[in-house]
Amino acid sequence: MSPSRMVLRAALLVVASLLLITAQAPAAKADLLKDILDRGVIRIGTTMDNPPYGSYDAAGKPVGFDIEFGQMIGQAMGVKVEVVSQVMANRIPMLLTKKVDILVSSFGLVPSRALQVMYSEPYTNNLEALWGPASIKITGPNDLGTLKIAAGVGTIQDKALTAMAPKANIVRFDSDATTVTAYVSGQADLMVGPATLAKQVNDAYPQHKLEMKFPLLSGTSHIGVPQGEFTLLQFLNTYIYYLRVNNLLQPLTLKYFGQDLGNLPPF
Amino acid sequence: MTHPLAFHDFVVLLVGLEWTILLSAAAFLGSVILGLVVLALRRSRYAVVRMLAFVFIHVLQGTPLLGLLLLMFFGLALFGYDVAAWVAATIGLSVYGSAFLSDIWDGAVRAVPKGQWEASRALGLSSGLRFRLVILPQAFTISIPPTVGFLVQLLKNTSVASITGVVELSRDAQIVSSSTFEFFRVYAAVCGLYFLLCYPLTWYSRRLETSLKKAR
Repeated sequence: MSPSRMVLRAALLVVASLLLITAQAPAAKADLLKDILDRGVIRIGTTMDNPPYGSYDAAGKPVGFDIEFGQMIGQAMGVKVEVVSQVMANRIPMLLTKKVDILVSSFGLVPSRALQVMYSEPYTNNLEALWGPASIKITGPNDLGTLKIAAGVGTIQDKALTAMAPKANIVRFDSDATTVTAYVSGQADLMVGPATLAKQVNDAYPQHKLEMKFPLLSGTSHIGVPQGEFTLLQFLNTYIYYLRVNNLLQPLTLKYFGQDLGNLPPF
Repeated sequence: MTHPLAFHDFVVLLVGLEWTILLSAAAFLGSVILGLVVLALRRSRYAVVRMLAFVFIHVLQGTPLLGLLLLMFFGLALFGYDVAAWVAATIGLSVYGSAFLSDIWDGAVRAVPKGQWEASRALGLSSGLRFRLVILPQAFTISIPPTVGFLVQLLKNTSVASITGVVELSRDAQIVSSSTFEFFRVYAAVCGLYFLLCYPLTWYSRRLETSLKKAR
């Protein structure tokens, strides 16, 4: 047999066996909560370039609200936590393709997202707004003109601004970090993001001081749960309710946001 | 929760560098092996097989690497295959690289003057020997600069793998820069590290090319 023929046969064999495996893939519809408990591990998707939710400290240790909150969830379930570092724009695909069990990833509320994944009760609130230097005078979406506005692609603040001002000149970036870089380097005149991000910019770059131009929407964060996993969702909601009614989220909120949790409306 | 740039941040970048090197090495190897297979198919005696190789090469050359990597990572998962991010990245980069390498090598074989084929046939060499003793050594020399040039591209393209969550040099740069807000210094350091990886490769290919030419 000639080499190319052998290769062809091998390739056909691989394709055939792949098809066979696909055909036999079990249509398992188990309960995710039970799976996690049996496994003893919960895989939590968190965005690690998104302080104060998820990042690394000077010693290289993961820190952030979502990291600590994820650990609390693991403890409450009595399972180990495996943090899966993910990219902001891939959060929903990671959940849909079962690469993570839940998202604890500053996951904000967008009704259209709820068609694909389920949201838990909110566990933080972080006002999303349009920010810019004092020199630019803006009072509402109609004043934006052709000013360049930096936004994280696919974030709730991006969606909110796009809905409010469809003609706005929005420049979209991969992460909050690159959004900030665009503003600080002068590539963009304004930026959208949560209040915590603006505070960090003001601490790091006093010469580029941001002030709020107008608010976009309340930035509640929720846990993302695969569609249909009601027992897991019910556990998470119960746990969040327990934390809130006993004021147990307050220390974490003060530590990472420097402010009160405030009055989080129930789901 | 940002912190001032610390020594450990550089260590994080070095760990990322290590992953970039590993991913590049795996992708090089995968591209070369798969590239040889595609080259064999491309030069098959059966027109259908040649056509398949042709389609494979041109579809991959005409699609972005980013899309291919996302298809490998999320697409396979939709069919029930849970592929780890670095596995998806290695397969994606190898498939992508093989399309270019097989094309480069095919060109190198074609670039050997026709007279060489005819002369070696006149000497009574079998087709296998003709290829191995006469054509291959010459094609090899011709193919070195474009091959290494492409491998340098592939090395830099490993940064695209960060989209699948592989924490290599570029992803670490994103992570460190957003934890410190020191974008310019971090990215300057990262570009320097990529250069330190790529330049020796280019330099070595040039040396190899000259020494092979001399040997001829």
